[in-house]
Amino acid sequence: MDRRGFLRVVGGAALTPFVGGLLSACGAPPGTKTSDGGADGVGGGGGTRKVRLGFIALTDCASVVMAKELGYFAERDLDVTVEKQANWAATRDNLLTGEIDGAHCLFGMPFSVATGIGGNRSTDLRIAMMLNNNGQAITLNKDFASVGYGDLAKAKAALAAKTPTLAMTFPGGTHDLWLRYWLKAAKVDEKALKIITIPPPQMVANMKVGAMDGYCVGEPWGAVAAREGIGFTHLNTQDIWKHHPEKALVVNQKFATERGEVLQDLMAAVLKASAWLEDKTNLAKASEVIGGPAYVNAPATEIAGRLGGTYDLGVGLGERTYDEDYMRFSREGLVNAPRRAHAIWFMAQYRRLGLLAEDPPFQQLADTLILRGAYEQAAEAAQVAVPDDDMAPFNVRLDEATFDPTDPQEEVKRP
Amino acid sequence: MTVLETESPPADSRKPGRRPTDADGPVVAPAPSSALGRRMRALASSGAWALVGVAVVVALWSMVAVFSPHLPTPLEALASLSGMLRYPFYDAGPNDKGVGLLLLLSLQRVFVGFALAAAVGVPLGFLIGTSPRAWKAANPVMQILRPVSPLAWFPIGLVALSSSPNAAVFVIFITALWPIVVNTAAGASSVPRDHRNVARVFQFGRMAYVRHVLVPHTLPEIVTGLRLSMGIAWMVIVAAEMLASGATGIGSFVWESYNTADLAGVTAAIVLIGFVGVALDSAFLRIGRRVALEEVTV
Amino acid sequence: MSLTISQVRKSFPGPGGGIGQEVLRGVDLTVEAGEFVSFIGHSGCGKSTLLNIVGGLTSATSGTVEVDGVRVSGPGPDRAMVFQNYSLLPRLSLLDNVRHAARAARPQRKAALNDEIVERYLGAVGLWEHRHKKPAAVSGGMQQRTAVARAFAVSPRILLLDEPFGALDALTRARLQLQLIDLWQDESETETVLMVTHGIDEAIILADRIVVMGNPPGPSVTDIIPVNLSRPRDRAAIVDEPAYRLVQERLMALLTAEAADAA
Repeated sequence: MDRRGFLRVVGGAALTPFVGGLLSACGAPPGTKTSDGGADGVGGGGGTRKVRLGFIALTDCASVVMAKELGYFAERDLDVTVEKQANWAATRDNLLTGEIDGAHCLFGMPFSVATGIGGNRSTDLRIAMMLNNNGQAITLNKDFASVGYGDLAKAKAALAAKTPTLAMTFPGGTHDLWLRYWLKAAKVDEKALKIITIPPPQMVANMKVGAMDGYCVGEPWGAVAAREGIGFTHLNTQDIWKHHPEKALVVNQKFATERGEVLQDLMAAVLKASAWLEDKTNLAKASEVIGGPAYVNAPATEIAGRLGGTYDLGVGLGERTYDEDYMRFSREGLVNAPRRAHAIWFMAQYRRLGLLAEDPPFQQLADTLILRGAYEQAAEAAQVAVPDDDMAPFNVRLDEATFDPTDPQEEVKRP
Repeated sequence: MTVLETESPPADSRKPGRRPTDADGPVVAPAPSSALGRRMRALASSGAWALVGVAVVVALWSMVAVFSPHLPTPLEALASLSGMLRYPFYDAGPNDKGVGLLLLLSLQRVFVGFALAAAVGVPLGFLIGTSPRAWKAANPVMQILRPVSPLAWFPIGLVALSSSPNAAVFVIFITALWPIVVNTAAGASSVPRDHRNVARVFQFGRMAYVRHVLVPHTLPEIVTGLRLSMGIAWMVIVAAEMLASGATGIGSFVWESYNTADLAGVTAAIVLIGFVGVALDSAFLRIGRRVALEEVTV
Repeated sequence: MSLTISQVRKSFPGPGGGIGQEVLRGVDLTVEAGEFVSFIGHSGCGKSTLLNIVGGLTSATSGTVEVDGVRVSGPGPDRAMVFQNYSLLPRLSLLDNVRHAARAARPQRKAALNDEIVERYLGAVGLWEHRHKKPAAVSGGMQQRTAVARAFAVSPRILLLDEPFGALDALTRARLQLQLIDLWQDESETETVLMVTHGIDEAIILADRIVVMGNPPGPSVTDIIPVNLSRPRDRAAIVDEPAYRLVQERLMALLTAEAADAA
């Protein structure tokens, strides 16, 4: 059996029996690979206008899904299938084998894979464009309700009382970093707690039975926990870093180099869908569509609130609204430009937070893994403004840190 | 090899005093050697053939690895394995433990689940094997529950026990239960008519019957059931821990290795899991041999 | 003490649930104390079934078995059995086999007395020094001797034997036959012995009366032949006696006729 076959078995079968039985909200078994039929079954090279995109059942898959559902792919003569992935590791493997051409994916994944944290050092994963900012959350078990929202000192005290188990979605991915960054800012001793990698439905299931103390993941899982009263939102990621990079359209290198024009059309469609999502009057429809069983499979009402910036934090902590830094897909192009400064920040955090023992080639990886040129070309064609802050310093508000991408060592050494 | 006609019958002729004939097949004159020498030769023979089997597997593996560059080669797996075995018992916090420690943690869970399964399954097996009504009541339920994948039990265990590691133990329990029950019941229901007649004629009371007839007769089957259960339990714990990632053990190690695409680690873990499984099985085989009855010679 | 068997019938249910074979078709027999009765016949004549009914392992479909006027309704310490296949419990030593059986059958007996009786009978069959061995470690003959000791250790009034020596070689069989008579007459209070056998010689040497049983459709009891030979019976000498010859011929005639009928 060649590698594709081998990994297909491992990736697809990973969690099939568990999730199917657990949450009624999670209908389609995660082992299913297609949400619409008609896949040729032969990898991404079937026809030149045919593209297979993977996604994970999170609210921020909206721009990719809506591009499909609103017909934006079709009107560019693209035959795109949007296929639900079992977990991030499966997404990674499917991208690397070419089973899928691109995916709604963690911004951090290509770097995690390239540095060996979450993969075997392949540099095959490339970022074509960003899909969204904000909209992830750190949820804590309702037993910690007294910690409240955003109080780092209280959080530290509460976590120190036991050996807590915290979950994230993928080593070296975005959620992993938000979690560890927060822990470091709160000065929690990481050696004293367990950080595990599990898919979102398991996080909720475990928290429901009291076996999980906290997790960091994208919506709607934060809303689910709050609504069911099993946990509460302790910190939204936009309150860690306003307008942080979150999900990206990640493609494999083969697709990027051999089907560059297809990628351009792909990006144009997604940019159009991203702009569509900026209009708040469209959010109700978006929630309906992505809430369907083929996609996120959660009630539209659970999705809509936070999608629009209104957060019921849970356990009686009340509501929190965001006028500007809720989950954003476009911001007139400010979201979608992939920035090398952000990439270098991620890699600096790998060092700072103890995920890497040695310095990676920061600039080189940022240059290689971000398809800046391709993006600028697509943005221009779509008449979307391209910001010029590719290598500009920026602030992370949680601990009031300024990051200079030309000097990552400063960040690496920062306590 | 030729047929040798000997004056005295060689060691492997069928009846004492019978001369070997062509019908016996090739006959080799026995080598003059001690029992120990024979044993060592037998061991060397099986050892040599085992090596052949392993060599074939490694060769196939290497060939496949040539075509799939991301599959670890046997050498890479070996390197990973020896790295893991260097400090097998280090403990650097809840996220980072040596592989020896992980195996022990997993074994612990297996034994707890297995012990529970034995404690419930053996009496249940006796009951079902000796009471037709109990059999009629229990059999349909057993037949339905038996083929259910242990992993499907996990969500139920999680909700019932509110703890990931305990849910893993529950999965072990529910999976290890069936072979024990079925084998014990088979043994208990097959007490030979002769023994039952003895018990009846001499008016054995219920306790005497159980002690002197039922249990002794069922003992080998019980051990068989336990052995099968242990094998399944060990297999299941790895999968259960992959699901119950709150439970640290060799299974969670495999899961983490999968997430970080450390396939060499996965293969090394596979080798270790296999060896531990063999050790467990051999232990039960030995117990089985001790408990087995010698053939009754007339 | 008398054992009365009246009009005993036994049928086993057929495959469809209806009446199957009628294995015993009305057996009448009275056995007085001190008698040794042999039962002989071809396979299927019901001799083992009859023995089982007397022993209480099976119940008759109709008819009664009474010991001193008391109906037999199940096993009891007044009737002990020796089986064809020895049926020693394989994980118990010879001693434990005899001891536990005797204890179970005679729970009122004190343990000390029981142990004494067990020792006496194991010694009488010559197995005392082998008492700690398991059945698999001793020969067939020794196993059967243990089974005989076991039966006697219950101090039954009636001893029932179902082809006890069939699986043994001729020499061992002869020795055990002598030992059986010995135990019955000199070593125990057992009054009556019923023995099922296939062997004509064995029946004549041991029994006071021989019950010849027949296969369906004829009567269950074909004939009852008295054996008027004085005891002790010496095997070598007895064969020449005319009384022996007569009984032997009669038995042969009856049994060959049976075989011819069946053919």
